[in-house]
Amino acid sequence: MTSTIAILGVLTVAAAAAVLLKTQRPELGFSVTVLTCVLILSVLILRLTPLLETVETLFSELPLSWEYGSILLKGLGICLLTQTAADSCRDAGESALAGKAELTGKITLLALSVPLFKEVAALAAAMIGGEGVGG
Amino acid sequence: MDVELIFKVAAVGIIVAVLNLVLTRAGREEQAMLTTLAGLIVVLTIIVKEIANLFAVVKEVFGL
Repeated sequence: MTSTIAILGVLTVAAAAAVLLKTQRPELGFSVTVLTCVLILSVLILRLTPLLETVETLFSELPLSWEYGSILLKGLGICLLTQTAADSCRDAGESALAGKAELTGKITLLALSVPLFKEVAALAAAMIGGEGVGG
Repeated sequence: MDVELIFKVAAVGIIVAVLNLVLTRAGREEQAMLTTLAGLIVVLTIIVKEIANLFAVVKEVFGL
């Protein structure tokens, strides 16, 4: 709880500093924003680690391999990074670059989930083929 | 959490803004521009280090 309040306080102070700098030097105000985002995101991800371990333990009780869970976790990591980059670009007023950052994330996620698509396709093909051969 | 870094960047920004104002008033636009550039480079050096740190953390935690 203390850490949460500290994070919220730091964010408010950083917002004040960014607003102060934006009137004179917009690029340095943007730098303050990006630095704060990066620092807070690192802290939050480190706080998330024990929760992810709990999720992994819960997943191990299921009759599924951890491969699927790890793909989900990788997707979550890519989403966090992409969102941060895109938000920073949009803050700087570059929505075209933000769109490209989001596109990068989407393509990476698609490439990450190709093995799952392949598995589902193989399952569907086996079911159709099984029907055909059996019938 | 390195909160000092945020204040450091804000301080660099304020110093650069004041220097820029003074140099512009003194009629030295080129030096004012160079001060701005130097401030930006200093700040970017700090930020790039932290971004690399964030990427390392994400890679480790999410197993990328």
